[in-house]
Amino acid sequence: MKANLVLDEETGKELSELKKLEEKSKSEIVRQAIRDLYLKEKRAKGNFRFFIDLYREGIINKDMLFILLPRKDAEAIVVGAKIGKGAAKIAKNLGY
Amino acid sequence: MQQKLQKILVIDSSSLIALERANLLGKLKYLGFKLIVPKTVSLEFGTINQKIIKTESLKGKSIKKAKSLVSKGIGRGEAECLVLADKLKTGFIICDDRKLLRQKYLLEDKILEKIEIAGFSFILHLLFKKKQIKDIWKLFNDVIEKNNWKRSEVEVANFVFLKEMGH
Repeated sequence: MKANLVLDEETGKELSELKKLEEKSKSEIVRQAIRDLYLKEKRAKGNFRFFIDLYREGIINKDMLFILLPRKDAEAIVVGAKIGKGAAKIAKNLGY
Repeated sequence: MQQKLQKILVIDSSSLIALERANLLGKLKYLGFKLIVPKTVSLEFGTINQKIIKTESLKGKSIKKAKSLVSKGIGRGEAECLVLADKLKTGFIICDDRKLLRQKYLLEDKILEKIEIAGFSFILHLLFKKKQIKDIWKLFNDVIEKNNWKRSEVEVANFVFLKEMGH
């Protein structure tokens, strides 16, 4: 599939710089970026609660979450886990 | 004579709406808690025809405290819930507002730090303990789906709460 991309000035500069740094063609860099995003999205869609458990149990840390999942999902897990644990702690302390 | 401590829950409109969508409002009478909502929440939620839910207006210093939280970007209903919980010394509120969960994580504020936020799953947990519901995870999924909370802070917080409570 052929695609024409419209990039803003900043993204265009970044792509040109990446081309030099990684010594890859622009098409290859775009393909790889799409592949990475696709895998992260698929992981989050299919295994969101599995990742919550891994993080809750301390099996993976915050950095790993951000590497493996889309940013918004990693953020949701980090914020939600802290709130949920805080709520559970007080519920247990109060004997609920 | 020793007075029996009254169990109080301060609850936000986000959780009330969530429970209503899952047809669970009618079960609140089995909780054994006095349920309180601040005035703004009562207005946000509309007519509360549940006898068990009482509305309480903030007065004096509490109004100032709520205004201070609102000036930091916290919603008015959520701010009033936090101040009311602080005044009643409940230690936590029931709220499922995504924005407030993020603010609790990011903002520095004495009341926000002091008051924990439990979600609708706290109610599910109590109803399960009272044997008013059977399949807690089925209801959990139902609430998440009906409120469009999939893959959100609200889903995570409530999921982690239930897991930590041994479900």
